[in-house]
Amino acid sequence: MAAQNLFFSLSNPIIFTILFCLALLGVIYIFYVHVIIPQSKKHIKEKENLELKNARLMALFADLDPDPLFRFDENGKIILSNKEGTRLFENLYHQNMNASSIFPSLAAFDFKNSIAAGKSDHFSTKINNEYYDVIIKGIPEMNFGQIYCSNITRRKQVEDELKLFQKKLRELSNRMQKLQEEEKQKISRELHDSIGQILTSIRLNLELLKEDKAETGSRLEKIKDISDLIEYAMSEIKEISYRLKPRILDDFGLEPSLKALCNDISRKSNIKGIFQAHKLNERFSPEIETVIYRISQEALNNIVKHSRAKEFSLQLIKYPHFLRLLIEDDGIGFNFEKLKSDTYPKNSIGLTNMYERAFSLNGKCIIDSNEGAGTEIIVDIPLESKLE
Amino acid sequence: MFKPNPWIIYSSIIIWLLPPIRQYRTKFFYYFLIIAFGDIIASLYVRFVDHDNNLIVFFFLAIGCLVSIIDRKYIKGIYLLIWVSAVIPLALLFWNSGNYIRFVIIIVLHLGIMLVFLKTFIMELSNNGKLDFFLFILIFYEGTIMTKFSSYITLALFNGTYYFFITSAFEISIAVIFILFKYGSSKLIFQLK
Repeated sequence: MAAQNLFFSLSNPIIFTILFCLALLGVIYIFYVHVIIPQSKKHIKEKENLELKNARLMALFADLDPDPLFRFDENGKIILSNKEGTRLFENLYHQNMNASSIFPSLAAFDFKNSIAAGKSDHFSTKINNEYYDVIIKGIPEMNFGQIYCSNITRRKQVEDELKLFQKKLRELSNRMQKLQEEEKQKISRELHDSIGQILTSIRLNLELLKEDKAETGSRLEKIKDISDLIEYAMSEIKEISYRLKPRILDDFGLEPSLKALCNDISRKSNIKGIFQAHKLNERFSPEIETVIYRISQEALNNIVKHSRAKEFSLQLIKYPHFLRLLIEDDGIGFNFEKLKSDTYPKNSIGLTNMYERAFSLNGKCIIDSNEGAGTEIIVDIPLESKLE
Repeated sequence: MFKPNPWIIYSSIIIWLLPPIRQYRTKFFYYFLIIAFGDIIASLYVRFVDHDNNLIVFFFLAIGCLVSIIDRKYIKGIYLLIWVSAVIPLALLFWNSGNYIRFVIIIVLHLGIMLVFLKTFIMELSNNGKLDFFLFILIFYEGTIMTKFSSYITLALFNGTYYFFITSAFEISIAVIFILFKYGSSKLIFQLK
């Protein structure tokens, strides 16, 4: 009986603990209902307000973005576009349009998943003849996604120019190798055909002279023949040497060389040539002299081959910081733009050579020509340039 | 005079060996493991070391339980130093005090354990709206331990011993709950919102 009384007493730890825990649970429940839940509701409301503010802020940023920007919902429907975006698709844009209709690359894109998972993707596309880098990104917090477009047309153009330039360089390298081979063949042929033949004749004449027992007159005649042949051989060697690199350029400089070139071309082609040099009383670096000479040689050869000109002029003018070469003719000219736009025409390789030679000394080459209106070539080479 | 039945102690020891198996890989595995071996160690201590008093075992068990349930980051670095510098003086105080103070220290340590459970319980309720009865039973269990020890202080030795064994018997039924349900079991969680 005493034990039973003890058990049902408040002193019993079990009874006490049960009552204590029930009281604690009650307090916690009241605390939860009257404190935690109202606080939680308050926080949820604050969070919603914050998200709303954030969304408004993002919308404001979207409007301020200088690049086109679009916002889409989970069905891919465009729900907002900034001014640039609307301008970009002014012919296509209308209410309730789908992102995949303005960006065909997004036809198979899972907009819903992208928004839920906050995934992003990117691709490049061409819109109204301009290139755009497009980034599509889902924003789960806002329950929408955004498409950011960056105009990369200029970068694309530079890339294309770079590719074309690399292609030209390859072509030029091939052309140089071919020219070198041709030059070697030409020298070999000329040595064989002219100097070789002449030396053979000299040797035969000497053999005849050794065996000739005739009178002095006949022998003198043979010696004269040999002397003529030697002289001819010397002039042939001089011609070959001149074509390889005119010695006059090394010895006397640019002005006399160009004058000689002009006269030579004029004499051989029957095209009247005028050479003028202004304020030139000094020597330039060997690189500048060679480049100017070779460009002149190429231009005058083109005049002889293609221009059907009656007259040409070649002027060399020294400015404080650069040297200008001006070549003009009154020939049939050509459509330079058409020639340029071709897929690297082989018949413009000579012009490209001129460009590349000028460019190698940080100079520039401007060609102005129209069909029936002659051709004008301006080459400017900085005086401080060195061959790169 | 009340004669304690030793089978209650033996049954309690055996039953409490099972919850750590059930709670393996849960947050409170080490807590249950310490409790499981605590009773065995305390019994062995009374039998072989000190026949009159095994409160020192309960002191270290309470410390072990407290360390096992708090966040790992609070037992590293500077916190470890704080723990050591708090436990050593407390152990010295415990060693040099009478039973009354010893009971008070053990009760305070269990109050700390209960507060940790209570904090977890309230956090779970406020953050996720979940009423986790597993945690509530743990709080209840810690409450029984506290009252069990306090019965020794507040009541006469006879009544204290009686209540101690009554509570131990009741704790066997609590152990059954921990054997049946794992921490995090959806059967013991009530979603309020």
